[in-house]
Amino acid sequence: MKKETISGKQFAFLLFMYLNSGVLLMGQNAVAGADSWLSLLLAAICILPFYFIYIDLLKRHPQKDFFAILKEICGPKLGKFLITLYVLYAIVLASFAMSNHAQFLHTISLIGMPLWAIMIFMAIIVFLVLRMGFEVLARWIEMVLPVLLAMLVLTGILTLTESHTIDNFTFLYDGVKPVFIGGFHFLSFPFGEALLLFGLLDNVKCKKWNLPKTVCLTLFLTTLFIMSNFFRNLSVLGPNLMSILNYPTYEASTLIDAGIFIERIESIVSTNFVLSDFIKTSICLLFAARGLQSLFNQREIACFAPYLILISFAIALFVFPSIIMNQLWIEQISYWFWPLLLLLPLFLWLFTVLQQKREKNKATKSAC
Amino acid sequence: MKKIVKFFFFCCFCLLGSGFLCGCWQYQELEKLAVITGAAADLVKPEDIEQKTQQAQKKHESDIDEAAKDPQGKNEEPAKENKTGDTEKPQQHDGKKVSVYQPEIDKYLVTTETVDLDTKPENTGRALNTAAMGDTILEAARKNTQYVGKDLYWTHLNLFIIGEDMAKDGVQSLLDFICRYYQMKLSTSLMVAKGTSGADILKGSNPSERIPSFNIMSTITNNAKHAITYQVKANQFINDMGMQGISTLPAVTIQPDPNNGNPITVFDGIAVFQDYKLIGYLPQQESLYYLFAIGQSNTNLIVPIEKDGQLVASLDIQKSKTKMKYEFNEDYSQIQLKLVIQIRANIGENMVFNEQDKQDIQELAALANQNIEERIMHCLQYVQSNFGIDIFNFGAEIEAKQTQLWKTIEQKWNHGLFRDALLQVEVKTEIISGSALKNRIEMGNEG
Repeated sequence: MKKETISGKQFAFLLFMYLNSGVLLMGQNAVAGADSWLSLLLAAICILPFYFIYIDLLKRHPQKDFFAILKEICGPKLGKFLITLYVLYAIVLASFAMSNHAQFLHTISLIGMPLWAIMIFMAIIVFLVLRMGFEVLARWIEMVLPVLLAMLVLTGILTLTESHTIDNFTFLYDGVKPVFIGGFHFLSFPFGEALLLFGLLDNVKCKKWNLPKTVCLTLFLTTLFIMSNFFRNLSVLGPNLMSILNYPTYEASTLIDAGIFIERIESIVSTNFVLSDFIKTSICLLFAARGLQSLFNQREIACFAPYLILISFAIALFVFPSIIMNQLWIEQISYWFWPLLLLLPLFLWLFTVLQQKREKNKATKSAC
Repeated sequence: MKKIVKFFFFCCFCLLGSGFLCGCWQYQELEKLAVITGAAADLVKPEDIEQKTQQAQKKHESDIDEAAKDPQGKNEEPAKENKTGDTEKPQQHDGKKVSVYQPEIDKYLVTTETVDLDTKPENTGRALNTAAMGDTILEAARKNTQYVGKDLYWTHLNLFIIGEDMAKDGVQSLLDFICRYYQMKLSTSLMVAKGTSGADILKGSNPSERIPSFNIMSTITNNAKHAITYQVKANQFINDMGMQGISTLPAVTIQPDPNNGNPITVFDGIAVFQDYKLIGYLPQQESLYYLFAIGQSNTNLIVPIEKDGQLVASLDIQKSKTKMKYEFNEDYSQIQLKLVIQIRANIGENMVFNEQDKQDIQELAALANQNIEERIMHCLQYVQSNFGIDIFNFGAEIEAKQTQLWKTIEQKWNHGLFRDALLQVEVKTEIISGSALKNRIEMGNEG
């Protein structure tokens, strides 16, 4: 099996883009409303131990990937069944990201262009990523993200000229309950989904920091970025308009009118959305390909690329044909996967820790 | 061999790439687009539709007669053409006469102003008006295409005028159209046609600009700078409506030009909306102090200063800051609302005061405080007695500071609590020097 090595910086960039996908596009949580920022903060705090669990799990099983660990702990039969579930989840998530990207472009400007025509371009590029591997994607993001970030920060600052409703920031407006529900939602989408990215880690080389420190910092910066974006949208659009728009971040950027001549630069924001969805689709399908590789004991993942692309393309086209379906997925169906994303890795980690402790005790007893 | 295969794939890649260079799916030439610069929406009652159809029929017949008399077409005026659709004709079906389906509901009339992109010098920058009726705003908007013959392009729309009848009936459908339709922008400015239809405002004569909507937009921008009116964008209006159910829009009307009597479009007060419906207007004089009180026009307002009924000076406001305060009585049945306004102002005109004398300047500041307090108080009382709703947004202040309390009084706020509120205005004026004159111009016989 080919070992792929990426740097800590590349991993941080990938995690940043992966977490941003979808959340930036869709805006606030429907239950928490204007208190979504609190939910986001709560979810970010809660997910951090899970990220450490993912990392520690991989660390305790050197030279093994996530699927090999599953097989080892759960046994070959149950392991294969769980791998199948993870693969299916990854394919559906990739289809969702693909559909999200197509729906967005179809809604904002390419209204007459069929969804399949928009999706086919992404499918071609993701196919290339699957053929070339994880390293290529990591190198590409290292090159692109600084430019994207600079553009996003610039548009963010320019939008502030349109900010009006500073009074609309709320703190526990409807009490604690909606914040917790919103937090639970954010825990699954997008934070929990990062398991797929961690599952791809064979070998990450961190020169300056160790991996937990890199993940910690990236999570902090991503949360800060999403929160600042949320506050920007809230102050520019107001809570009411923000709650009824499908793409509040995009709509907020359409209001940019700095000095008359700097306007209509919303395409910059669109670029970020499109690229973040591309990253997410690629990572999900890479994870699915690795899962299939583990299931069928293949040497290369590239042989699964055409099938995975075609399946996710079909799901995106027929299962997620409209924005309404995508919203339903985010608000309701994404809850269903938290046992796979949070509970099972926790169980695997606990089992590993206890097993290793037992082995250590045995070793010390036999040494005595 | 490997090189040949590589070259083959390279050629294939180039050919595939060239496919993407021919433009996007919906590529359209500029000359095939009708760029809309302004639009107006009006409500037409069923009884008016027949009248309008007959008028259009008569106009059409008279046009044909004139054309017959004048075959050279010398009297043609294609620049401002107004056409209205929807004609009824009975159809033959199985031997019985079945009339065309006509729902008994109000119709919407959407008027668009498009810019003629013809490059001929005599046509450059010419505005073309079309109007179409429909059962919904979207339908009426789409029907305009049949009169232009090109695809209507709404993305450059800056201005949407709402006819008075439609504003009274409710603007929810229009706001939905603005938010939902992919070509519309949330930054579109909204205003109400006071005492007339939106179509008339859009067709209004404009001495300086060839395109009326550009004229209205530049007027509102300049007037907003000089604190005469203010600009409200669709996103702001929609959010305010969704939050408190109350908002305001600038009102525009047609008045005769005092110099030559020609009709001109002017801004006249502020339209007050509650639950998406127009409930009345704030007169121009009151609207100046309303905008000042809510901090919308905090610069360049000219405030005349009176003393014993005589005009003694005027102040040019440079900066103002408004703070809203409130205090409830013990059982929360009555509230005292207070506006504290801090002003920095230049002397605009001075007929009486000695600007070198500190005491005189203090007297002027005290007079300014008294004058502005009276005018803002009058505006507050006018709103309380005529509308009884909080257009000043005191409610948002309470909501932000005491959310739980606000939830208990929210329902009562615009249904009596605001109307019965005790009002207080406190103005603190600071006079700053900012003119070329050291002191007022003195008369020869002055001591």
